[in-house]
Amino acid sequence: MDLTWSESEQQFRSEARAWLQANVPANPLPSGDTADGFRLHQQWEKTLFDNRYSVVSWGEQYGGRGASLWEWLIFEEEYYRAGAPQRVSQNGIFLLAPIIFEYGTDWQKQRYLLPMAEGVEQWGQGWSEPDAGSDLAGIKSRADRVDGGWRVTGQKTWTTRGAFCTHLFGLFRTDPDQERHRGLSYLMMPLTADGVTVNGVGRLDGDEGFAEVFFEDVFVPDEDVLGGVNEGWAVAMATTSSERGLTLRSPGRFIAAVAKLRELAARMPQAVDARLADAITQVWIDAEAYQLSTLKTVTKMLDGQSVGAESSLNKIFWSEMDVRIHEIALELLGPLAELVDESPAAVDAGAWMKGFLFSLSGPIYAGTNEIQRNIVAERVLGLPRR
Amino acid sequence: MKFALTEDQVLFTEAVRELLADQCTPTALRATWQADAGTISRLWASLAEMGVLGLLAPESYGGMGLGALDVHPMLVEAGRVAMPDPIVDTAAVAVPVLASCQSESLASIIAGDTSVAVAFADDPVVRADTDLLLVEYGKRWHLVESASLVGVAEQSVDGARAMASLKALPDESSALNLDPTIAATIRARAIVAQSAVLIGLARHLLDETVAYVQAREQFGKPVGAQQAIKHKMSDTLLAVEYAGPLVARAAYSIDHGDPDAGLHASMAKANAADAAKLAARHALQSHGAIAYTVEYDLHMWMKRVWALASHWGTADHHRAIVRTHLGL
Ligand SMILES: Cc1cc2nc3c(=O)[nH]c(=O)nc-3n(C[C@H](O)[C@H](O)[C@H](O)COP(=O)(O)OP(=O)(O)OC[C@H]3O[C@@H](n4cnc5c(N)ncnc54)[C@H](O)[C@@H]3O)c2cc1C
Repeated sequence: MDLTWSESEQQFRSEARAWLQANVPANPLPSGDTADGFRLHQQWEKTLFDNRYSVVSWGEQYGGRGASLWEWLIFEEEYYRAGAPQRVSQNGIFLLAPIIFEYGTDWQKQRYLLPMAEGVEQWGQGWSEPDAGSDLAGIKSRADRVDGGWRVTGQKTWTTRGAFCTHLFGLFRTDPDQERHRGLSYLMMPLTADGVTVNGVGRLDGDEGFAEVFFEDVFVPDEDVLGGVNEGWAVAMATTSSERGLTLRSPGRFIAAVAKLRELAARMPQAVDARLADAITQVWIDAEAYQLSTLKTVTKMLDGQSVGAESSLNKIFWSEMDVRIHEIALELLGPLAELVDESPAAVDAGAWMKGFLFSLSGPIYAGTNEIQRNIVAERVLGLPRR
Repeated sequence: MKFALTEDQVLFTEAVRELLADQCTPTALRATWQADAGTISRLWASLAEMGVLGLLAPESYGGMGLGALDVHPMLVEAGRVAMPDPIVDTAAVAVPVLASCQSESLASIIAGDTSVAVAFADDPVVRADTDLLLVEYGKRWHLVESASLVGVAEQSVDGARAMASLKALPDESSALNLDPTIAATIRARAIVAQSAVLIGLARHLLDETVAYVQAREQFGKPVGAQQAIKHKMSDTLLAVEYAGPLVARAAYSIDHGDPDAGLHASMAKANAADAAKLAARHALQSHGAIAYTVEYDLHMWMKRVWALASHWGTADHHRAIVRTHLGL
């Protein structure tokens, strides 16, 4: 065991820290889940890209730095420590890109990765449908074979930032004779394509962070099938562990969140009773536990071991910790907790309530925590499925 | 950066696990409930022979010159079998402390002829079945014959723990001449070692329960196919998985003289005690009445958890230490 960073890693950290200090906008940007806020976030993504900080772990030809997983973790830690903006490119760079790297053709890599890193092309994830939520294999949107490609008909829903994205990737039924997880393919398409209709939907916080996407005979050429035809399920599952695990929510985010919570408590000592002090301490310990556990996971990954279903544990842990962090903050704020949208008396411009509302989605998206608990019980502990 | 045990550490731990599986059986454990001392006869000598007792002593004493990190996975194994012998006190705490002051007792401790229990000044009861007590009193540490201090026997809920209150206090003559930096690590060593045992106890409770709920059928299928049971098992694993790394990190901090070692130890105990208590609660509930009897082995593990979770500070107590550090 060695819990120290090498000299070059420390160097990487101090460079990232200095750059972030100099470049992170002094005032928080408006929410990236609104039209105006999204554009500002897109500009920020471009700034990151121009300094090769948008996708540090990618190769240089795709705008990255070829950073190691350790350096990626360090960057994330510094990023959240600096209070830098939310990553609106997240679904592209963390959910789609790993699939393109693993299954994509050379053409797909050349065509899609650089604009994604630059933030110019923004991707929405089209998995969920009205009748396919937890039971994702119930997907009905279908793609019919035509000359040179596919014609897509159907509907996706809950597409994060779909109203602002330029592109969509997702699962579609390419073989109508096969059922459930068989006969699905992973397709990519521009949301400007003929036959696509996108309707923004307000999330719990009122921002237009969701969208419904309708497809009417939308043509998708063969070159935009990612992975093999009818192999979409395997392609999708290959990357769920990175979504639930590391990339979606790196520990740096929670280390920064508990540090902010501690600051909040220090600013309002009269609100900190023994129970809240104990609760803050516990989330502090949990954030450290999450960080240490991530070090363990990354060590395993670099050692060539697979992480697999264990990433479900990760997802349960960070999402429930995030809810607790925000619940505690609201209790500290007491009667001021309800104030939002830069209301004059709001503390931190109402960010804690906003954060609380967002934290509540963590146990739902990326596979609900009930589903994750099933996965842990069945695939990690080996309990019978039925 | 590397957060993993070395191959040597893994291999040594496997050897210890095999030894324990062979000698520290549930039957042997049960027998200690009927005896006055919580020790399994051949086991202590075997551990000495294997080098486990001297793991943290320098090679010049016939030890292995290893650290808290090396011994902690073995303590997890000791917890897994609910080993009653004082391995935490003796091997993980007394040996490195006594080695640092060249104690004359060290050789016989490493050889397995002398056992030691550790007692902090604020412990209301101490382990009564060892030869020596390493006891804190008047801000100093003393090494004394147990018999000279140990008074009336106290009955623990865990029948394998021979506890007693003290009838006397050590005098100046038994005070050890400890380097203050070593003395400052004693509490952290004890708590980290105990936390490792708690992790092992929790793992066993989980493993046993997972096996049981697969075998036990009601309503025509295994009770483990019911989601209410599945989720209890997942929650137990979750708690254990996010306590383990805190324990390993605290052990590492002790070995590296990290000034935060005590803080890290308290973080470890807070999560390890809570995880083990959850494991015990879910194990009992998921077994039903079968686990609510002393005829069934599981109670010995649960009772060890309930004893250790509060000994040397409850989770709350340790959170309060962290909380002070956070300025809350
Ligand atoms: C903020 C947010 C962003 C999202 N972004 C996207 C996105 O970009 N792209 C996308 O495709 N999707 C997205 N989703 C959708 C998300 O993936 C789904 O909400 C999720 O998969 C659950 O599906 P559902 O909402 O239909 O709930 P349902 O599946 O209908 O579940 C309802 C309840 O029943 C429980 N339940 C269901 N099945 C079981 C079972 N077998 N055992 C126990 N309990 C069960 C669930 O846990 C839940 O509590 C997003 C969701 C949120 C909240």
